[in-house]
Amino acid sequence: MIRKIAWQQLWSKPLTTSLLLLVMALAVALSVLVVSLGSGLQRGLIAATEPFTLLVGSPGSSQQFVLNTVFLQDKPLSNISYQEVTQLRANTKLVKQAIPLAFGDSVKGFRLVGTEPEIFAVRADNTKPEWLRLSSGRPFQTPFEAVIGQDVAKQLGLALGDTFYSTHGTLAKGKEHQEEKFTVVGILADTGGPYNQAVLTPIESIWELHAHGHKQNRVQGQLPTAAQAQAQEQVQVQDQDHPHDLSEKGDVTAIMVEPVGFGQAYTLAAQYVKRKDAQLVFPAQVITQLFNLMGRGEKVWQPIGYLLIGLAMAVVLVTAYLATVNRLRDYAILKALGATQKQLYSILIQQTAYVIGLGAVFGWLMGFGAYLGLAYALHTSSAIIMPLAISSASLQLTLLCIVVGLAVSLLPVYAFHRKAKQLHDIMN
Amino acid sequence: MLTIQNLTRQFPDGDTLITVLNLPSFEAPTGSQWCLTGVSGSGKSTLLQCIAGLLQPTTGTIQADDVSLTEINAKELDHWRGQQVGYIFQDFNLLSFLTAEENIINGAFFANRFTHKEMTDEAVKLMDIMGLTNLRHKKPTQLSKGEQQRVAIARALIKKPSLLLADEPTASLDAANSAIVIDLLRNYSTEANATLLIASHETTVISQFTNQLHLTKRGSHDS
Repeated sequence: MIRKIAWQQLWSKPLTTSLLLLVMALAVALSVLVVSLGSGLQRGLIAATEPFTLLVGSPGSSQQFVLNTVFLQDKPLSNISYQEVTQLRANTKLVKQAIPLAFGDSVKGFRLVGTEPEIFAVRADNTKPEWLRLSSGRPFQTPFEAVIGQDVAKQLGLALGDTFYSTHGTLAKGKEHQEEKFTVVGILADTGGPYNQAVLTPIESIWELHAHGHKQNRVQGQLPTAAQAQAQEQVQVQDQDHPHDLSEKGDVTAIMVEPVGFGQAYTLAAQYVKRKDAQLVFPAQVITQLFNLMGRGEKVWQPIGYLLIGLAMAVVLVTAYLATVNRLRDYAILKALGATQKQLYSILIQQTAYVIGLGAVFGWLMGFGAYLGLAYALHTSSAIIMPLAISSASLQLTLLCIVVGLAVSLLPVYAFHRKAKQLHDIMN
Repeated sequence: MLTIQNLTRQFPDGDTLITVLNLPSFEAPTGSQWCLTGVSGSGKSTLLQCIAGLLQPTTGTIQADDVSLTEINAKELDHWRGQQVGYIFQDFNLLSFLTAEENIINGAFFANRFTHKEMTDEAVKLMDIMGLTNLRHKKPTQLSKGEQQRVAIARALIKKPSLLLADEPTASLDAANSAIVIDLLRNYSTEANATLLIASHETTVISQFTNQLHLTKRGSHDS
């Protein structure tokens, strides 16, 4: 009966109670979202870097380099010679494997990645299966064969044996390289990361395509027709988004390097520190640095989350205090019916607990729901997979909120205690 | 037996204290029925609230059977009130957020001696007697004054109190409803051998009681 009285009295003012629940839920939801996103995004990004222990490429922004190579975003840096791959492979004391990657073209917005078949043997670590496993078909063997990521297959409706043209540059509406057709020979299983949106092909395909394209662009002694001039202009515009030139056989955009061991990785890194024509990066470190630069999601946002919850709790408690004062007549009636002081306190505590507890639970559900929505959106747009597991930080935050809320719910009880002596006057 | 000795109750009025109630002695045998009379401000409501333990007297003692109400602590007083006292207010004082049935059951809950089924069965019985069955799920605001008063009476009777206190129970009722209410209270008192004290200034009510306690601002006397 006490529970019923507490509950029904609380809902006797449905608008006030609903608004209180909403205030509490929104504060918790926002905090849970911020905390989950902070850790989820960082974990998702770092997980995507797992197959890329080290990356070697031309000098430039390390963030841009990692974003392009690992996450298939942003523009590629300039190229380096294929000789770098050969030299790294020869350095067997430090390097276990070196795989070239060539970027710059795309297939209806999906990045075309020129590489070598060794990429299919890459593992994030020895305990895990190969990073790029095929769900159907076989690895590419000859130029213009392609293995496509599962998102590419799904979104472009491509199946084994289908053909397509690549596009110059990374924009979906770029000019197609109609000189050569690619044929789908394999479809990747879920890679758990951005390479679900990659189109893998032998690096020779890229070299040949660009050598051919540049030959066409270099026709001299003739005035271009209006259509040719327009096409040339379009290529020039796209080249601004395509800063490298892969026409020279032997150029690569990046090299995935698997070191022999941890120590060897640092020895190798030390060798690149002095070089001005190339850089070596640890992708996971770059992501961590990026988060450090942004102030690490959790550390910056958590206090803001707590502040929001604190404010919401203050609103709930002030309202609960005022509600208690307004309901003194009800408590006086209950007292006249034989309710003890303890039972009246229990009603007050339960009411605040309902608002704080339900608000926190709804808030957690809303926050986690929003996180799932954002994770899905990020997965769809960039194939970055944020962990879908419930983050312990968000649970701790919600529990803490409930515990603190219950502790401070004693405030309305104190207000009632101070007014209790006036119950007689209130009834008359 | 309800025994009162040298009972006074004072209230502050600015810097001074005014005596609202002054009752040198009063005895009501178990099962007796009394009407408290007197003009407004003579202390009728104050006396009922002191007897119910809702108000602490300034001086004097109140003894209900073997319980000295002026000596037991607040918690014991709450328990005693919950178990022994049925209190009917002038303006009903129903809880607006509970239905008629829930209000009635609420009257028995704090007695701590009934199961939920017993309370529900008794509420159904009382609602049937008082013609409230069709109104059981209505909130107080959906009821007429007469219906509200019947709910308030049922709430007071459901716990089968040994002491029934009614403060101007017919003040806002018409003559027909007033007669029904007084009959209900007197019948219960007779059947349950419960002591009944009704505060009223209505002659139609007063005339029905042979035991009357007349309170004045100077003092009081019974007749």
